[in-house]
Amino acid sequence: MSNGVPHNHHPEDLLRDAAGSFSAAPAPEVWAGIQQALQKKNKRRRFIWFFILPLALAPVFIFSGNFFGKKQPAPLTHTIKQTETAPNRVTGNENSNTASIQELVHDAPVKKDITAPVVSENPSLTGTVDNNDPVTGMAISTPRNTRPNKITFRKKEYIPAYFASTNNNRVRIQKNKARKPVSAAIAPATGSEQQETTITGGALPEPEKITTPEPAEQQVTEPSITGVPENIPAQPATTNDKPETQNITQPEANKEQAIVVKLPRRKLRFGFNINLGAGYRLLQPGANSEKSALNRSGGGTGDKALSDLQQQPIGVYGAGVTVSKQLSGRWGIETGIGYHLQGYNSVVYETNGPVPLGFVQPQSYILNPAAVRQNFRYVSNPNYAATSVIGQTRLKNRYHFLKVPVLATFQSNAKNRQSVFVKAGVSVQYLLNKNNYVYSPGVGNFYLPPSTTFRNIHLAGVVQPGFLFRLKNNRELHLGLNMELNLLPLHTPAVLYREYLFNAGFKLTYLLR
Amino acid sequence: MQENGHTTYRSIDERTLVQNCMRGQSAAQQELYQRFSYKMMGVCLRYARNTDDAQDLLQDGFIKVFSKLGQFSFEGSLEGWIRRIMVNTAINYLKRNRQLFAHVPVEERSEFIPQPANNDHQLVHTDVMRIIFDLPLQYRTVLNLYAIEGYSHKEVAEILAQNESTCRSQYSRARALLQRKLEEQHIIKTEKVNQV
Repeated sequence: MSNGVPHNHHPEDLLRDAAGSFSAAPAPEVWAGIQQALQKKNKRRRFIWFFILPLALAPVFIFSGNFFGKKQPAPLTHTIKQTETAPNRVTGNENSNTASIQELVHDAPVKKDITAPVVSENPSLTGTVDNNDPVTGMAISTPRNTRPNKITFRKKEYIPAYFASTNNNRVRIQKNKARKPVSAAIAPATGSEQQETTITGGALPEPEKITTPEPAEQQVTEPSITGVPENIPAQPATTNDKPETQNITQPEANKEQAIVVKLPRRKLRFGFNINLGAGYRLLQPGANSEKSALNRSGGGTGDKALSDLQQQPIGVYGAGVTVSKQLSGRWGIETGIGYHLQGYNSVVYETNGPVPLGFVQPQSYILNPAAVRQNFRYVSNPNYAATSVIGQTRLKNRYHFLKVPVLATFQSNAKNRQSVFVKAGVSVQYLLNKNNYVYSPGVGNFYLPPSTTFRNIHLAGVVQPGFLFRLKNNRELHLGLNMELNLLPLHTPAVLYREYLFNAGFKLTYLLR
Repeated sequence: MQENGHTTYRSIDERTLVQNCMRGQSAAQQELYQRFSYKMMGVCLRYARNTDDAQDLLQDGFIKVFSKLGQFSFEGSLEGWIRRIMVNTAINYLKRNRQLFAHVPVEERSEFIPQPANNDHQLVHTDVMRIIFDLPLQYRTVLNLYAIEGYSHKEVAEILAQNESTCRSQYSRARALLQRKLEEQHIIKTEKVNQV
């Protein structure tokens, strides 16, 4: 068979040589398939960018509110300004008076406990916020209803840039629009109640000049509180300073001994959510009366009608992560990314219609080439009479979505432990995958192989009403309904009429600080 | 390089060709495919059960090639790199179809028949390949992996989900069968054959 070649090869060597030089011509369809796959891949890459870009821009958009939506804070500085003050008017001991104002004007985590003393002519006018206020992240050492004249930011807490020494001669709790209301207590100074503040405190006003309510009732939410408590115990005044009736909203000028505390804006909150429910598909009105795709593609065997009246929804499962931001006490926005599975089972019946004029009934099963071009393979059985059910196909459709909801949120109450919320918006969905399980029991002459979907990007309207529970450590639990309706239609694989997916169920969101 | 506004890649070097492919130029991708598809089809045919499977393998392999071209570092030959991808694709195919291969009757042969070559040297290779394709699928797979690709018996056993001893005995039988056929075709001499 083969001559003129060395015959002393080992079989393995011969095998390697032969395999190395062996080649064969591939079919031209292979290159076409490769091209198609590459185009699809590029298209998918563009779709992925479609999701990544909004996600990347979302934090920028959210944070931009901090810079463009409000007045800029004071210039950042890390200097601590030491200011000499008068001797302690309570003790008369000059050394015991801290006599310093710390300008803590930097947005940075506290490396160690930093105490900012309130050195005021009238320390009874100082204000407090709740200890461990979850909104601000600040911890103030002075308990409620006491007169603080020293504010301590604890280690690992966050010092807002708004915390600064100003010309005001009192501590003010300033409330921003976008902040949770903070109670400002104005209370007398009693030695037992004050924590690490008695030494640095200044002189108290005379009791008769103070006209504020009882301490227990002095929880106010606005900084423009006028007056001081009435029950300030008389303390010896060591100076000739006259007591003043204080008005927090009208600070006195030219006194450099005060601290203004503004609460920082709320930060982004991250969380995760799960939702369970049921899905259903809504068909375009009149869809069932449309002709079959098999016939519309031409060359069919008559008017066939398809109907899938026995639709059975399956459970909807979803999970994802959430990023939310409170824009004000009640309003906020929420976004995130999640996975979502929805589907349905249905039985599609095909009935045979009248045979069109001129159509020659074949004597055996035929393959409809036009239908094949449309991704449908239809085999006609001429043995069945017209207008009878000639086919029955069971469909199991499963849609896997990656979705990015963008929701506006509204809470009925921004302070209580419980409140009602409503979230509404749109959800951009990318169809990750679609599984069609198609089988034809019985007659089996009607076969629909899996087909490509009409589009991969979908848009759904979302409404989520529910209850909000504020837990410890500023965590929140949202429990409510999740309702989504596809605004853009999908095409079923069976019939070219349009369907809209709808699902409703329970959604649980757990927001971390 | 430019003909009627279109770039021709016939004489272009591999580096430029790869870079153009990475930019997504369809003409460059087609040239790359045309350069290597014949040889790679030969690789795929050696592993596949039939020609259709081989073409699927070739398609999958080239899609991987175009997707991973950025990882090619130009240190070795481009052909060797593509060949490695094809072999790995084929091995994945074997792993996916383990059960299928396990139940393939020994009598089953490939329907592919290598075409006769022009010169004598290629004629021998064509004859050898014809013999290989005439071997049962299991024998052909073991020979491919062990004798041609250089995998150890242990690795072959892992790929095919078989015992190592089974692989050894299959290879032994395959080699004996191959040797006998080569002798029948007078491609090798009897006295030069070494036993495993």
